Amino acid sequence: MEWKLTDNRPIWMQLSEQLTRRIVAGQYPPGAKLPAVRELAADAGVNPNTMQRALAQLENDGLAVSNRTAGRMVTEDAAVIEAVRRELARKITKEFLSAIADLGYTREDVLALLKEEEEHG
Amino acid sequence: MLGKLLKYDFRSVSREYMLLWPAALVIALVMRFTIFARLDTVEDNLLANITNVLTVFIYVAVLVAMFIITLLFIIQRFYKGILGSEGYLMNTLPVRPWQLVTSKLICAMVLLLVSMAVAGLSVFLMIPISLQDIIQVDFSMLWDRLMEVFPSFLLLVAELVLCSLVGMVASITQLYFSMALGNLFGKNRLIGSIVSYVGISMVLNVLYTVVSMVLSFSAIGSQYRWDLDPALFFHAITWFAILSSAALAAIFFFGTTYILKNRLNLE
Amino acid sequence: MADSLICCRGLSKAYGQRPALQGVDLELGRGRIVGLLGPNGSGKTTLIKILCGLLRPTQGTVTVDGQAPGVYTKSIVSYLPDRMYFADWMKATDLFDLFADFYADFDRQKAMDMCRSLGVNPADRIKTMSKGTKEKVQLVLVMARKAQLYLLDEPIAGVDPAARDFIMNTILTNYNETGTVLLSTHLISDIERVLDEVVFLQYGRVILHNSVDNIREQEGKSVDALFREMFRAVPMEGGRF
Repeated sequence: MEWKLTDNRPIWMQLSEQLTRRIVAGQYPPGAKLPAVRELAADAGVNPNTMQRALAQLENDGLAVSNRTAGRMVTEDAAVIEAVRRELARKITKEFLSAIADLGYTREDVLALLKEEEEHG
Repeated sequence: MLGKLLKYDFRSVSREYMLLWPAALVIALVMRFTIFARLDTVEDNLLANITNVLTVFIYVAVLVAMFIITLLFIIQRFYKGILGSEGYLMNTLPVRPWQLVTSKLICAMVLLLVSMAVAGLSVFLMIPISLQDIIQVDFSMLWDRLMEVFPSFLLLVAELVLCSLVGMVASITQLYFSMALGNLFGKNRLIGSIVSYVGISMVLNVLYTVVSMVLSFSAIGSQYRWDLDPALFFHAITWFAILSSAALAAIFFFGTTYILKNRLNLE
Repeated sequence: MADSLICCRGLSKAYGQRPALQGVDLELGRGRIVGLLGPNGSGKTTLIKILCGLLRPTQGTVTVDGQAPGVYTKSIVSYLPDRMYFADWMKATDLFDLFADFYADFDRQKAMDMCRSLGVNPADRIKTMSKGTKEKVQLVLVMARKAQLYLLDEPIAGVDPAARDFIMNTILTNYNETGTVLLSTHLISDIERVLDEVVFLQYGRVILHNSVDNIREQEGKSVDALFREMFRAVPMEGGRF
């Protein structure tokens, strides 16, 4: 997965969001060791301090834990990951619904549209 | 730190001199066995004459080249090496300005002295005088006579050597100081350096003229002039030259380091 | 160790009558990558030259790790000038010798490794190298030191985007973590994401000093966009050089 950074928001927020996505999508499975800050920073082409801040946010969210000897790992608590994943899914759904409502679609139209997409797509 | 600086200053000129110095000696040796070997056997064909002239020409050219190159190196190693773009490297090294200048100065002195030695040695190599010819002249007689008239002759020789060494240092530091002053001229630093050099030389000339006039007048005025021991007179003159050159060298040196420290303005 | 790595107080510098810096107050900490941004002629190079000891300020004070620029600060500052400083006779390895002799923090092995990964043959004579290769050698010399302060003057000016990425990556992966990188540029968008904080200079004055993320959070736009906005009117003002 490539890092995508836009111009108008703090970089650390975008990094932590994308790391979160990687974790909930299973790219970094529960209990797995996360790459070192420097490595991640070099990969994303960002400042290590910024990456550090993004990772600290992951720890705040309970998605990552710091281990003095082993470094930083993804949490083994699947429930936490699932909750974050769920929340992300709801957020995406909400955004979708709000965008589609702007086009004048009702809930019924949307359901029909989804069905149609599933059959043809 | 000074030793390390010297190492790089010598390395920067070694390529050229490792060629020039041996070249001068080799050509001198060649001349010994061509031109000078034939001096007694009078040969008068055109080819021999042409080769003779050519060899002499090459030899003189090499000697002249050696001293011109030395002079240019002394100027260029300072101008480019400290005040040019290389200065960005040299002036950010963790060394003091006086160490930079001293290193360049020592390097310049060594180049000059070795070049002079090479020139002298080449003359010696060139002319095939056997040692016996020299010994045949009765030096001991000459020497005794000299010691009689001028007992402190050796001391004077030592003083004269010291005088020329200090004079060389003063001349080199005058070049450095002029270039350092030229550095203050913004965009016209080359012209500034030349103007500074000419200006300093003119001021020194006037000063020397005034001082020597004052000295000779006071000498005429005093009754000691004719009683003065000529040897003492020579010593006095030499020491005056040594001390005045040393004072000038000190002014030029500290002026240069002051500018490098406080007024450096690389392009 | 002094608290802040760089501390400028009322720093001014004039070239004759022309002011280049006017009362700069600036403090920078350790372990940061800082962008020194401003249009041409805003005083970026002058500030960097004062920090590395090539220029003396006309007024004010400056300290690096608590000391005025001198032998000590030069030993902990790694400086990349905006020009080539090589002598013709040298090879890259000669320069490595020189750096190893004068800088205790120079890592020769690292320099050789960096040359290899940059595709530079350190045994080549500098004279025969292309401009791009010379720039790489200079970058290697600067980044192979474990310095406290890296002063990089326009490290990415005049190179193509691929080389730019490469240079930024070299800086990111090689700088000393407890050291600070101060780099000047007027091409912000390319390097914005590697910076912790930025300092905007205009007419020799600091007009903004903040972290990149703070700026994005407060302004809702990139530093690059903010920079363009702030300096858009500059060419129109005219007459102040």
